[in-house]
Amino acid sequence: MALIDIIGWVGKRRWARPVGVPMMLAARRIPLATMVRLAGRRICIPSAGYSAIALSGTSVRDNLCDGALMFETLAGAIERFGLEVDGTASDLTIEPGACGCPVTMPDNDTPYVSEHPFSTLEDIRALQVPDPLADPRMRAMTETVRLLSKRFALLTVAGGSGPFTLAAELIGASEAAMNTVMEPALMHELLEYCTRVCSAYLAAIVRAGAEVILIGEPTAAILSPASYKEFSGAYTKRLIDSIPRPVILHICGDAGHLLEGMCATGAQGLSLDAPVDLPSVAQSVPRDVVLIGNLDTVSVLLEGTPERVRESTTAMLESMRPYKNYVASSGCDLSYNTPVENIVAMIETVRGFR
Amino acid sequence: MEDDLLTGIKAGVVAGRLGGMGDMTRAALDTGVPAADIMSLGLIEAMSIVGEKFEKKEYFVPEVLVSARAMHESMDVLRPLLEASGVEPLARVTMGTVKGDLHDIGKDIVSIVLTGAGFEVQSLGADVPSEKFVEAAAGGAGVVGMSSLLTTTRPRMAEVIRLLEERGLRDGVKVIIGGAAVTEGFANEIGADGYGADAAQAVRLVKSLLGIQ
Ligand code: B12
Repeated sequence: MALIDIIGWVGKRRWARPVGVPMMLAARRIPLATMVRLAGRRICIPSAGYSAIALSGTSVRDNLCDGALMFETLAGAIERFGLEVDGTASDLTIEPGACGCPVTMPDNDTPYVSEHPFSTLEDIRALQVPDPLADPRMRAMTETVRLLSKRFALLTVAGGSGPFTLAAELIGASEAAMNTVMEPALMHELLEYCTRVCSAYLAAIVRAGAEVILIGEPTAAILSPASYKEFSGAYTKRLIDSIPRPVILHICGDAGHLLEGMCATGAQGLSLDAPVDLPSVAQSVPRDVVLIGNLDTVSVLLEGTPERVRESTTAMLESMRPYKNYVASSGCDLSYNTPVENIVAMIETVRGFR
Repeated sequence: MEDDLLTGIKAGVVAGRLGGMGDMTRAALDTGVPAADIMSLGLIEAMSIVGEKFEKKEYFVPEVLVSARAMHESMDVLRPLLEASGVEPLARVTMGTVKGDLHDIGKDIVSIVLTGAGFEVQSLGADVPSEKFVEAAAGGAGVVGMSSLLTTTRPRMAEVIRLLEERGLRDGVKVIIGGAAVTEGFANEIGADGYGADAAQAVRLVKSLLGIQ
């Protein structure tokens, strides 16, 4: 039995908390790369929060608004999939919603920001940093994290939006992109604000008991390497410096051109999407940075058969065999409609791989 | 001199030099360069260079959007002249991202490059209800362009085509689709007229569908 299996076994049992809790407290002081190296086998983080909701029979909207319900949902998935790392469903509309953007919440699909009401410097200067204890959806998410770490002594992964992604929601993605060139001063002021919002929210998530923080910065994928550093990386670094936990940085899509900048943020883990060729990237990433990814969420996990998932997972694991700093995962958040058999096939293939 | 001005306009758009494009355009007009030449030899050529740079990853989304804004500064001066002299846009294109999908950057870039190529583009934005596309077709758009980046929202495209058929509007309009969630095969499956993988392809596609050289 590998160490990670023991942690998973202990962490799920209430009566074993006297052992599990000190183990998790100790884990908080260990760098992510060391944890991954000590695990004894490949760890799998499926990013299956939305699939967990589908499995529970309750609606996405209710889960995202009710911390206790989301906890029940995730607890069900932890048992069902036998996870050794627990994570919340990622929701990048929480921060923009708290800052005043209208958010559309379909019953059973991911929510989205439907308007980007801010544009001028005056608008930006009038914005207040939301109090994570007062905003209802920030509170719901922190409550979920609190309940998870009270019930399970597992590595709890939770997080939020990166500064540029939040900025793009506040003023609109095309506007944000153009302003990196046309109005850099305005962008910097906006990003200062966004960094404060992200930092306050993630601090609340840490206080609620998260062991690992996940920052999602998808919209930075549209930037050049140089503007990534200036308009996302520099702020992400400050954000990460403010968080007393290991941080995983995720950028969707083809983020290969941003890798160097991502490494410079101080993130201990980089989560990359299916378009990135992990084995070739692995050579240029320092050993103490963990790579996380990157099974295709659509063509393999959503549309494929369990057989196809097993093949792709094995191929991925084989190609990353030489690298100890690697965690198996889907490239991005799994879609609500992903077949359960496919998620199980991915997790079991990883677990059985030696 | 005239050539210099035209080259300057072209370079200004490629470099995304904002603020002076209107004056440069007026200066070129003053020396006798026809508006239609500024349009085709300056702006359209510039935007196709921008499109190439984007594909080669020399330019990224922000640079393309800023070049487009520079093009618009010049277009604002040219438009009244082109309209007065009876130069019609090649066709009217309506462009939007389907209902439930908020990814609007890709379709913005396609809209910009189509405008650069001489089309009049009406942008419906993102999260566009299927009805809105149908209304645009009823209002005389020759081409309806839809973007979808989410597998969950692409069925909306088939819905729009079905609605167009029900209203008897399907034959009068070309339907093109694009975005990360769709493919050539999907376009055939739902009976769209064409698929474009990027903005340059979108231009070629629209031109060939409308029989424009
Ligand atoms: C930036 C981004 C976001 C931003 C969007 C900002 C904005 N306002 O646009 C934010 C953070 C809001 C976001 C949210 C989400 N996203 Co997103 N996002 C991206 C990302 C990283 C880049 C998209 C982009 O702008 N690319 C740059 C542009 C220039 O490229 P493009 O859009 O492909 O457009 C080009 C061509 O496709 C073509 N084209 C586009 N449209 C058209 C139309 C016509 C007619 C033609 C001819 C051509 C054409 O020409 C364009 C120019 O070359 C992609 C990754 C990727 N691989 O695309 C994921 C991605 C699209 N997102 C994805 C997902 C899942 C989501 C979320 C559900 C995430 C979540 N779990 O919360 C939400 C959904 C929100 C919603 N309801 O829409 C998935 C979609 C998977 C799928 N197939 O279903 C992707 C592919 C990432 C992934 N691998 O999982 N996202």
